[in-house]
Amino acid sequence: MTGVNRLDAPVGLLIDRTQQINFRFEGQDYQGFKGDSIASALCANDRWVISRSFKYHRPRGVLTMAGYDSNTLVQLDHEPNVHADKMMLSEGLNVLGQNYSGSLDQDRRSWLGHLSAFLPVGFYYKAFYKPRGAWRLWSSLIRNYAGLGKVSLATTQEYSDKSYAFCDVAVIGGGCAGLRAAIQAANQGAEVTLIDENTALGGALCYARTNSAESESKEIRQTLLAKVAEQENILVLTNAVANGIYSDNWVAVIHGRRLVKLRAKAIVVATGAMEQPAVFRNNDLPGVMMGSAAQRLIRLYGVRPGRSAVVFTSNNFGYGVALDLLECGTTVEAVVDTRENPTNSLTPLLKEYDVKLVTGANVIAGISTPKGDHVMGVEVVAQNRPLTEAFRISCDLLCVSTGFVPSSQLLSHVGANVAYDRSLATFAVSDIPSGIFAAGSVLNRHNLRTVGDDGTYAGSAAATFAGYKAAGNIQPPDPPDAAEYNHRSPIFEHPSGREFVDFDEDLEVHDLRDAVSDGYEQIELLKRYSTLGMGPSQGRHSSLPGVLIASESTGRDPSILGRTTVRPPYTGVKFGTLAGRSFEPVRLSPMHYRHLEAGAKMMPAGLWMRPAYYGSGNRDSIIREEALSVRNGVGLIDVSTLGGLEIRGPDSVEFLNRMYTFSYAKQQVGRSRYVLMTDRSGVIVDDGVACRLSDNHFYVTATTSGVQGVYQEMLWYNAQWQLSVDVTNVTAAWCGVNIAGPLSRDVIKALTNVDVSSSSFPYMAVREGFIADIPARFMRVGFVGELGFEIHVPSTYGEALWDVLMDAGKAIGITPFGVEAQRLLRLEKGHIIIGQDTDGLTHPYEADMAWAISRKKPYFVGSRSIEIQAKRSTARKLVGFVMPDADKDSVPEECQLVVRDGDISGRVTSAAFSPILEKVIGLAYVEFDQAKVENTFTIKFADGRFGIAHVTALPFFDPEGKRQEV
Amino acid sequence: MKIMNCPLNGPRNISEFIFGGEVINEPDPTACSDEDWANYVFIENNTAGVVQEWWFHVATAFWFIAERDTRTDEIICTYSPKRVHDKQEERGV
Amino acid sequence: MTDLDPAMHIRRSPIYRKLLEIGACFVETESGVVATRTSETATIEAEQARHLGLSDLTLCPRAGYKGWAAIDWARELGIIIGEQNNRTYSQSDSTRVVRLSDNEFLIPGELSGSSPAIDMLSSARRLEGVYSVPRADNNCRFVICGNQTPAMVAKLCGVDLRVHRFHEGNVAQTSVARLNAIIIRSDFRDVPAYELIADIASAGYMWNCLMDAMSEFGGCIVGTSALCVLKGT
Repeated sequence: MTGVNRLDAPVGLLIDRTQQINFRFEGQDYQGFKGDSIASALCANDRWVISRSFKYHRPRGVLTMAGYDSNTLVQLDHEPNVHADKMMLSEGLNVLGQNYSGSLDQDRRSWLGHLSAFLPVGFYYKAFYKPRGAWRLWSSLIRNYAGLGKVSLATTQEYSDKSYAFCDVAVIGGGCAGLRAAIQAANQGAEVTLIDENTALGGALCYARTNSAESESKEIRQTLLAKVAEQENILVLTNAVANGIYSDNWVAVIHGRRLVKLRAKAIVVATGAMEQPAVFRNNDLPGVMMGSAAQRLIRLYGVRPGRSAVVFTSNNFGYGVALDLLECGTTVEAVVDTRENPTNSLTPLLKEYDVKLVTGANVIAGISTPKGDHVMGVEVVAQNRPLTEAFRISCDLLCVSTGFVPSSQLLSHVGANVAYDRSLATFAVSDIPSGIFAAGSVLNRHNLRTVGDDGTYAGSAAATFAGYKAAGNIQPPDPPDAAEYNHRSPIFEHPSGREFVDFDEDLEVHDLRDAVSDGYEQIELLKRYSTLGMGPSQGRHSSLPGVLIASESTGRDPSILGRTTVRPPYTGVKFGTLAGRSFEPVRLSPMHYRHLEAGAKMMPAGLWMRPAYYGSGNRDSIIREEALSVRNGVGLIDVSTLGGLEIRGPDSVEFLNRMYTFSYAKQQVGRSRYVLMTDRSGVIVDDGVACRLSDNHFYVTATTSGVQGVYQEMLWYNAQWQLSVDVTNVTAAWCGVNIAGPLSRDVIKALTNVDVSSSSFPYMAVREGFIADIPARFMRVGFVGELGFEIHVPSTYGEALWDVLMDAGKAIGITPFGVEAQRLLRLEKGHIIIGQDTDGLTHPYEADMAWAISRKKPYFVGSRSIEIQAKRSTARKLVGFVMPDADKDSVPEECQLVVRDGDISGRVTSAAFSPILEKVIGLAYVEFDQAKVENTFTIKFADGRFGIAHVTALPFFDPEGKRQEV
Repeated sequence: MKIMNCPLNGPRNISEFIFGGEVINEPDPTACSDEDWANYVFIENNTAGVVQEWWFHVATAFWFIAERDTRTDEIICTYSPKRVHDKQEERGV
Repeated sequence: MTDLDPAMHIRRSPIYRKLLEIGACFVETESGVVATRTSETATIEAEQARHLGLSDLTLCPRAGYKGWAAIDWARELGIIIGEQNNRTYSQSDSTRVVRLSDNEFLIPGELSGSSPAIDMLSSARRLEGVYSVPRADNNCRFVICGNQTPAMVAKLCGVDLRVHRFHEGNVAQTSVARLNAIIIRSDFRDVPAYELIADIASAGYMWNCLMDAMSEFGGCIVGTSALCVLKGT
């Protein structure tokens, strides 16, 4: 038994009566069918209160049955704020309402509704802030009461992904207009992707009644679906939401857990129109719904929407609703038509059923049950008659058909103008940009034939735009006919209020009037002050009445008032959908796994992973031990991440001279030389070493994180200079190690064909040869200030190189060392780290790098700026310092402040406890007059202590460089 | 997602590119005034209109020029930098 | 399965550990140790590859040259390179040469371990304006083949790679899973096949992305023997 309100087969396009589904709602067990939404199954079971409203906790039920409203947002175990009228049932689903304390039916906070006099529009701007500090108390209380659903922290991550798609014509909306557009475009030869957010194509054809013969919609739908299926070049995506249109016809389509990024040459927007609620007292009661909602319940789900109904209408659709209700066994107590003399083909049919027809009258109030949880009647009064003449009609269902607003959001995304149109009594779209086309009720056409012709016209125009011309001429459709369907202003203010304009925010007519009298006349300000349209429905129902009320209150024409800006997304989107697979590239050295096997703690260096240090235990002592092993024996470090550039060609020297500050014309083949790069403004941006392998070939290194930028800049400059030079980024092609320490020569000498003796391979020399059959480039550079060899080999040999060296050095205790030990060793030698000891403004004079600037070159990048800087006094200097009174447990951290007379006068950029010197050393920026050697300055530690630092000449260790030059 | 028509690779998503600033002739750094030099380094023209711009296609390390209307963000045309260089040579830069 | 252990050779693919994990079987070629099979028989693997397969060809020979004279120099030496960029040009011995730009071409390499064209160019006299690019070590090389290939790469790449838009021999230099990559369409007879040449340091990351994208379609890792079956060689 799946519901007392379930209609007999065959009605119910979406449900499969052979498959029963069990679910729970508010702790009670229910059954529905496969294909039911949560809401339709609950309605079938006569369960009408599904959630409560945000502010006043009013009981709410279905309104649109299309997900346009947010009256039935429900809570699932792992997802809050789910539209009950869209979410399909699944076996075992556990559903709860939202916005209550206690239970949905016995909400302990429903008394909030009685406080409405104390919660006027914008109340949080006017109260809760006095006395001083009161807000902190109020805010936690209000937080408890506010908010919609709850996020479960136990939710497991879903698998979401993305894909790219392409088509000639994207048709968004698979109703009559969209189907006709897709078919026409495909006939003209275009590749079409047809997107619809529902499970079944057809749009209103699935549920609306277009004439007295109930079957017309059905037949048209079958015919169109068959034509779509025949066409090989139409790809259909159902349960797919086009959530935004972006530049150059890029459409974000959410399809299940996949975000499809669709590029279309042309787009047809056929998203339809949304039936609008009328504004009258208690228009939010469960049992008050759109006429189309009742038809959706009947035709999509086979659910009778009520036992005795009143239809409140301003157009002929309402009569179709009345007939539908009668045919499914609902008593229609009356059709209340706002029009004085409505004429349509369905009126005589009503007479046959003996339905009372009240013309020229309005429903001005819903009457609620004593519990306030359902409608039990309506008050009706003739136009322009006083309320005292209102009369009651009993009912448990009120269907409203008083007008439409186009679903124009996607068109707003691309910059179309949407404004109130007096002649159509609703919003109308204009100024649609090139490449985008629209059709159907989104352009305020409702007559079925007109809608279809509009679809064909737009589909043809879109295909033509995409390069597929039509065979003949396609007739433009008839003009918009929405005036026949829209009430001018279905807003019926009531002395007792509760005529809701915005259901999400519980805003009544007087709230908007009050906001205007508070001074918020501008539509964007009115929105933000009153929160009109800021709830989950995003103004789908509140925009139009909001504009009409504001117009009336301000005396300004609604078309001048305009509308608030509409931006993507069209519906809510999960973070997981936007993240997709979270592609986060990572670069690994070929020796990476050897580091892991040796127990390295890895750290990110840009996109690369590098070993920080090896082993578990006290981090600082491990690092100091590694450093001492290098100074006293031999260490091995993986330097594969270092940038590498081949600079080749007849203009190589000229190119290096222009890109770097130093001079390279006289650099000998087989020697290396420091490179320092400044940018146009004279700021230091990178450094490295240039190895001259032949007259016209330099192998230049760069920093790990800087090489990509250096490479880009080099190419940019040469695109203008057009020198005969080639720059190739070989960072990944060459991996390398640096084997450093007094015993380093002993490890490698037997492995290589290169003579590594001091006389044959002096400091700063470069050699090419082999090491254990691996082709290699060898360099002796400063690095950590010990005898050492930097060995670069092609990457595919990297792991083998590491193995060979570790094996050869095992007997004398070779130790792998990581980035942290390297930093410590280099700090002992006073080497600066670009980006750590330099910042976005550091120029060479501040960092004592004037020695790296050639005076003999006419030009290098930044030379003019450096000249200008040299003429000025330098405000700050980077200096070396020691802290004689500090021990290894009080090492200042990077960016700790240098203070002077209570003010900041600089900062620490690097600091460490040097095991070989047994004191705290570091680099810091100080004011220029503090920079003299032997001067002292004060450093402030994180815990507020102060320490004294002494300015020291660099380098701290082995100032004559004897150890590295043996 | 905007489309950029790369002279080497054809139309591609703009996420494949990096913007490189306006195409500006560098004043002669050995001859211009300090003020002209500072303007060149730090001040943007911020033109509302069609601007000649450097763009870089990251995957191919290819620099090219695009002419873009900064008011509408419409990319008018794209071409290889050789055209600019040849024009500069003609002017004796 | 033979005992050839890729870790005993001095040249190693960044993917060798992942291949060992799935029990791949390796053979030695002139340019290094290559995974020839990932299962018992190459013919069954070939059927899987016909549906969707992924193979690591990083250690196959590969070379590249760039510079303002590079294309003319290669033509002088008998290499056929046409006028279009981003296009593959087949040589008489079926070696493919890919023209990447006016100033650069790439020889992605074939399945066998040797490449006469690569050897010839590397020993030829170099002119000014002709510079070698260390493609064998700068890049990894994977091939994705099978009928599901276009659907799979649509999850990773923003260029239209559908078979009726990206033809045999076409080349796309673009971004795949946020990495720079060169994609070359080079079918194995009637089976679509796309080669991917990307940064060797990100090979492991790229491989993981490809495996992740493949799982939806039931793709699997295949060895070079299966590819030879599909090629009919």
